[in-house]
Amino acid sequence: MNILLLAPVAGPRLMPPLVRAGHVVQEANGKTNAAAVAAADLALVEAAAFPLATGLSLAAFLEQCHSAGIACLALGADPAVMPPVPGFHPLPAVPDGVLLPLLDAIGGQVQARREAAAKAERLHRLETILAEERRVARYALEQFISHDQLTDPALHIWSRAAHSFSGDIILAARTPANVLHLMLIDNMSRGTGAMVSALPVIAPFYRMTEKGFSIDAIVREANARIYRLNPGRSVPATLVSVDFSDGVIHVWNGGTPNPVLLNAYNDALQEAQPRAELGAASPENFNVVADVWTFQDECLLALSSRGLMRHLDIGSEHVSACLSRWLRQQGGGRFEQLKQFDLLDFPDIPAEEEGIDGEDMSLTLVRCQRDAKTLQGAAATVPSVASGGEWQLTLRISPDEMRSVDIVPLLLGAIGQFNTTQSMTGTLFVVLSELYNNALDHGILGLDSALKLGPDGMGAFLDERARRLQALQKGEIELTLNQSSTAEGLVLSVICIDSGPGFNHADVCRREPAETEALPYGRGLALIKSLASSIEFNPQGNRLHVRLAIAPSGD
Amino acid sequence: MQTSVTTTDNRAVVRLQGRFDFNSHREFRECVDGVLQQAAIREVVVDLGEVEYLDSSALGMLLMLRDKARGSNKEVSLANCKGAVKQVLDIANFSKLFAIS
Repeated sequence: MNILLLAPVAGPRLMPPLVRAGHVVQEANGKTNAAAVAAADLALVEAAAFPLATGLSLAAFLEQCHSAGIACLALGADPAVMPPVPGFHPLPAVPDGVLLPLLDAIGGQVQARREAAAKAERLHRLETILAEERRVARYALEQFISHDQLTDPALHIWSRAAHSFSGDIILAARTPANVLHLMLIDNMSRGTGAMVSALPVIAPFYRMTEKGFSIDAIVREANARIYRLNPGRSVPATLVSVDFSDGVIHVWNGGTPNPVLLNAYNDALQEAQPRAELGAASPENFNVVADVWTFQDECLLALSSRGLMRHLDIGSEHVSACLSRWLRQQGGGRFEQLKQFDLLDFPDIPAEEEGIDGEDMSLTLVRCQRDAKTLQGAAATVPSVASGGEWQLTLRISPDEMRSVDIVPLLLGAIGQFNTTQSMTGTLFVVLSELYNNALDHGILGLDSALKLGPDGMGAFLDERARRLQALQKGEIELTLNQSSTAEGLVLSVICIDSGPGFNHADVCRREPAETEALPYGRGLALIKSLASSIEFNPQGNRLHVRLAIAPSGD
Repeated sequence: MQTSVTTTDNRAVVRLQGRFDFNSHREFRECVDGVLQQAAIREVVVDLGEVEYLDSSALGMLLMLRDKARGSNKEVSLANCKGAVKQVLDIANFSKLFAIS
């Protein structure tokens, strides 16, 4: 223990026994400053033989000790004549055999206090670092998140962070066809941990939504990225698409509380079942299939985070039943009314919950209401085009893209960007899917459809397809989409060229339907011919030009 | 694509949701193989009401289901066909091969 000793004129009697007991003793005198006092653990005054010989008055010494928070013992002092200063303890004269154990006990307390102070200091430093880390992570994430999209009129989001930076990250964006995509990332980690988890999926979400990819393609890409970049660190997330035009909802639930669809009376209509978290399985073993729901009348889609559900303590109760009950309590639960309520209206949610045990909580509601224009036009049989522009797009697909990109949704998204209405999507899907898959399977990979014959012929065909695609080094498919206005109306031309050797298309086109009627292959070209206005091969058979009537003249 | 099966007496309804193309092969095969292994099932109904799109690969898979089902003395029918799905089935003359509702 560091002891500051104020000794009498006769000399510091206690100095030798204290030093022998292992204490570091410094004699106080008129030169003792505040820093020297603050460095001590205890002050001792040998009051038995006043006056003091140090040139330092007792009153000044006690004041310094008090300011530095140092306890001061006066040995052999008469309490009646000692000044009443806080932290100053007059004691009767005691023999060294009592004093030294007493000092040991005080030393133990001082040591414990010193360690506690060091820990508090370290904790303070860590909290400062953590706060800075969260601030940086929040700043970094906000550079990637499009906040404008979160003000979508069909959306209402409550979010409460346990700290300055919530681990519940919500992303929203619209596709070119005006389909709302929504993603909830339900991080358990915060700060840079949350940022590291979320960053690999944020960019693909926005980029692929902008291009019109479906959510299963986004889920596939997000899983592959997390699996590759953050192995062993899966991310709970839910992706949703809401097509207000067709009244179709796709929900992929990767480990967050089950998203719920509620009707106007807040009865639960659907509850999405969980899949594995993003990054939990290799791309080839990951289930990207979304639940598909439809709606005619107005519904509410609710996405909640685990923090919220834990607070509601739903136990074995379904998320749907819990949310349904709460929303009913909010006076009917129409979307506009619900927007007026606060998340804190949930039962048992404290207003403040700081500290490491705090939970991030969020609830996102989507008002699912079919577009008025779509409903009015639902009976129309002739497709229309919102904007009759002429445009052309060419896509060259190399082996790397053939392996990694889901081309058909990409093309559908591209067409959507040019404002073609959704009513042609089914036809376009079939035509593009058949064109591209024929070019890839037969033109580039040289697969024979006869492989599909047999009890598990399709499996054998797809296994061989995957093997050849993986090994593919060379080859290219070029797809050109061209929309033009003709005397007959708008026409979409699709030209597909592959770098393969071509095939005898005349033979294939001559086949009678009865020849392939019962076979598990041989219908692709027939489908294209039936859906298109015209088709035209080059002599070699590796270039096919398909024309589709998009809208008659005058629409 | 997502699959689910509901069984009532000797009838199984296989409900498909989403995009039905060659990517769906594994899910489809696992689902229908499970149904075909049940000796008590005599009728398999494939509900296509929530299929958004299907292509020629899906047609091939339906035909293989039909052939396998016949091998175990079961009948296959297609239900709730509409929109683009119905259009493709019509073009492929599937009404000659399946009972379609």
